[in-house]
Amino acid sequence: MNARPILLLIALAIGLVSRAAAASGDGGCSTASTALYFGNGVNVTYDKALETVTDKLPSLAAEANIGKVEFGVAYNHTDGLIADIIQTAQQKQAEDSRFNWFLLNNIAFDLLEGLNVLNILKLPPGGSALVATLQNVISAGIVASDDQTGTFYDSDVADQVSGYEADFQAGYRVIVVAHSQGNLYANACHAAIAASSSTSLASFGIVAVADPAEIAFNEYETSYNDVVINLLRAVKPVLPANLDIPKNLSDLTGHMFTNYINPKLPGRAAVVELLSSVATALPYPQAATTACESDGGETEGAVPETDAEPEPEDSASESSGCEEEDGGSSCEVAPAQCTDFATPGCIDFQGAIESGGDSRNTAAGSLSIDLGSDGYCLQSPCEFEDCYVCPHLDTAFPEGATVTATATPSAGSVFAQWGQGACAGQGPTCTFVAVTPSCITAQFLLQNPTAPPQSLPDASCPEDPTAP
Amino acid sequence: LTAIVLAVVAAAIGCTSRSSSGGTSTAALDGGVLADPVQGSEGDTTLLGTDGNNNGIRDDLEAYIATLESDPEKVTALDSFARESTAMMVLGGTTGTTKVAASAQAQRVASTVDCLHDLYVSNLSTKQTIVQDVRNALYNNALRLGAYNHASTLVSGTLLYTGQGCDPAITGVDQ
Repeated sequence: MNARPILLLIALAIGLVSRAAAASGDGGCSTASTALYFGNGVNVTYDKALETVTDKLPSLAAEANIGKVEFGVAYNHTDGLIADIIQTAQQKQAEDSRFNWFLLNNIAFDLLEGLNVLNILKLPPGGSALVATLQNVISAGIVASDDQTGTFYDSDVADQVSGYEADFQAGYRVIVVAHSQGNLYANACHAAIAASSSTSLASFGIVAVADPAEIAFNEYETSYNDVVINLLRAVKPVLPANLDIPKNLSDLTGHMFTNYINPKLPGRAAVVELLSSVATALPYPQAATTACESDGGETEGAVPETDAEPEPEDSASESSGCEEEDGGSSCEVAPAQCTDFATPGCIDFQGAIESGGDSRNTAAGSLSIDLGSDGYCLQSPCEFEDCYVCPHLDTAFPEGATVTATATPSAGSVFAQWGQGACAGQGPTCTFVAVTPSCITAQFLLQNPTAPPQSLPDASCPEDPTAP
Repeated sequence: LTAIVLAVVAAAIGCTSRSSSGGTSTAALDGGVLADPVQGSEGDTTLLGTDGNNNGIRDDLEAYIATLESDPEKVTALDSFARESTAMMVLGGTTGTTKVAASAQAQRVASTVDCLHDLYVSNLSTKQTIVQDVRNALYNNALRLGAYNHASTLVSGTLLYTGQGCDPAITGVDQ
């Protein structure tokens, strides 16, 4: 079945523009393409967000080599801040007749993206006082705007999720390159998609840049010198910085998206690498691919340069060597050579379940790791079934072994994601190669929470998986 | 501290000039204050301004754009950006504008942004400077800036698409 009629129906139903309606000449079949969105930060105006996409994202996508890509903005706007700036400027105008709106417009939106010294230097004498006043307003506004939980749910999130669902149905996998507050929206969309379709969730990835959130569904990049995020960290829990971008005159806040992707600074390579890794682990929606292929060759020429690894077949009977051996109550799989992760050439893997939920209910699920003939269970049990408070799982594999882990939600729950670790970014059936020690965490959410938002699980994996 | 640093830096370099890359801006200093070639030139501070030729672009803005760029095709694209942005601003300043209407108009602005990117692909920094100058002139009073801001608010949560090149029906540019 061609995806275009479905998309048009959805577009008509929600009354918004769809990718299919905006596109032309694709025959309605966009199989094996990536829909790459920029999730803008606080109070970036809609056309400036669009300009960021046209001018910045294509080169990032090309460097990350993620295949056929179509671009867009997942637009987020926060009321109030620009209005505050205008009001402040009006007050300044009353104080100083030299002030004019041209001047304000020239600096205010650059200030919103970060304190761009190159524009500040264009100020006339006395302008620095206005800059200082505006910067105070803006800093306070950014902090206030970003001071939200990572799982808030509002009509903006609902609209974006509707658009993403249309993308999934049309055969796109979706990646949001989110900056600053855009991460909160992307995270909220992730949670909303998880609550409705674990299949769609498998094709949704986030490249988090300057992340003000407490959690990241994939990896993230936040600079040690990001003044805005550091300011946030002083008032709320924020993911730790993990990227060293030197301070520079083009952005004294160290927070601008352009600072993170500046080709002359080390942040760009990190963002490109993150985009590449997210894309590599992200499968295309399988149902739409099948539908388009059956349409008779419309996918020709649309095959991406880098395909995600196909998800292995999910089979409960193959998911746990322990279960096959003794019913799952204990783990006595015949060891290969890794009965101790401290043995040279053996890699330690740990596993955990993290159950989210709302104030009344807690999600639950199962986690199993296929030990096959190579792995060894260091601590029983080595799989969990239908639990929301689960013991810790500890296994070991020879270096280079291919490992499959399966997360299965219990009734009423959905698989949300894998936490950080070897399975991050993959679907419920995860395949990875044992290279370095890692802790995989299967995170589940309620399918129908009584009242969104529901809280996401807290990380329970130790930072050092080899620690006792 | 940042403000102090900036003030020192600004004072150290004299802070008396403004030059856009490529020499495309006509803004100049007048007694230490930036002189806006658009602001006040028509004495009309309404949202729409004066549009004598009824092409959807304020007359003073249209004349200003002609000073920013000499290539006729690029002028056409810049005009389309100004026209569609003006329409979007008007929606933002109009009570009762729906998200559907604003999103559809924002998508038209997206087409002009696409087109400008394609025309200036070999010199994006020049394009960015010129487009920012056009924005400055577009939203050159509190009413217009507020309407622009509200237009952005209206399309919050919307997915907007790019990469469609120059749509001649919107941009007037046939590439």
